[in-house]
Amino acid sequence: MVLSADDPRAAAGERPLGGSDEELIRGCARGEDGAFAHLLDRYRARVSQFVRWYLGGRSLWAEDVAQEVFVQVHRRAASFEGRSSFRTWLYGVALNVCRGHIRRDRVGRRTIDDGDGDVLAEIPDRAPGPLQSLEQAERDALVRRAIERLPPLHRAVLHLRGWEELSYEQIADVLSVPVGTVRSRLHNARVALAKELADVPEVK
Amino acid sequence: MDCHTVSKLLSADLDGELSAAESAQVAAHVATCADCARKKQVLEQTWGEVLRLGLERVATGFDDGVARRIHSQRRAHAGLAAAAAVIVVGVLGVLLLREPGTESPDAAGTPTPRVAAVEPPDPGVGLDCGLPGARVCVADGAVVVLAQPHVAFTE
Repeated sequence: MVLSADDPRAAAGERPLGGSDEELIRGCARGEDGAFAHLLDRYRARVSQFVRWYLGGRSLWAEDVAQEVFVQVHRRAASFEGRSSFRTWLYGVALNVCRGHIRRDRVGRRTIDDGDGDVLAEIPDRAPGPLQSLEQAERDALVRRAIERLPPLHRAVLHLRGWEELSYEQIADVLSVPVGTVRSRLHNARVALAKELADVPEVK
Repeated sequence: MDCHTVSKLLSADLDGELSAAESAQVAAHVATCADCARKKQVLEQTWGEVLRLGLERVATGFDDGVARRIHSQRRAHAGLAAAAAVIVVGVLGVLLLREPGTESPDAAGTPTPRVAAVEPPDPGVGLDCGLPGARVCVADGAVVVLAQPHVAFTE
């Protein structure tokens, strides 16, 4: 089993259960349900977050769209040629599904906009301790709301950089934009977050 | 490098996406500029807060939902394939089920399809062509589709 060179686990010398992503997607193309189950297990949370961030945290259909991403991965497994890493391919599929969803169903009209439907804030990642929890939860909610206010593509680059640790070049491949655009979007997204969270308007 | 240029590079520097030379220049500037050092610290702190959020929990039943979708999609595709097969057979039937001898060769002299009644096909004869109740074999140099009710369409 071989990990892709850009997989952070490769640097750590780990060999994931089931094989590398590329091996698994090829197994999936051969009809091995176990391979698909491994990929699902490995990426369900990350793809779900990508979709939620891209559509906006308040999208009512984020889970449906995330499921559809995996359906498309299963269906198109044979089209993975290995010219890019699996993750680049995967997020390309995810982006297409998200964009298709927006086109077809006009997500903007299916969102709750009353200010109380903070889906992201309602899904805490960790069970907080009793004392620090309140302050930390409030801070996390603040960060999530600040992220939600970013444009979709800014949220997308934040996710791909933060959780997938993709290089700027790989992110550019996923989004089909120049590397310079990725760089400026990340910069602008971080500055926007810093302004909201740290109230430091001088960061430009 | 001036403050404006450095400010634009801080994010990429944070990601290790600058060249060694650029990164060294940024570091040299930040070491002597309190304002840019502060900006760098704020960006790092903000990014740390984003990453600390971690991944959100996925709803129970997510995998079941994916499996259901894949299953229903497969059924839909199978249904479409069956419908397409029925249409193909129907069209072939319309085109080929004509009285023998009523058709004449076209201008190019290409013989029109003939229809011949044959004995019920031996289950061992021909190959399954994927259409319900139909088998394909080669007879007298022609491809023959044996379809219920045991009429041979020759082409």
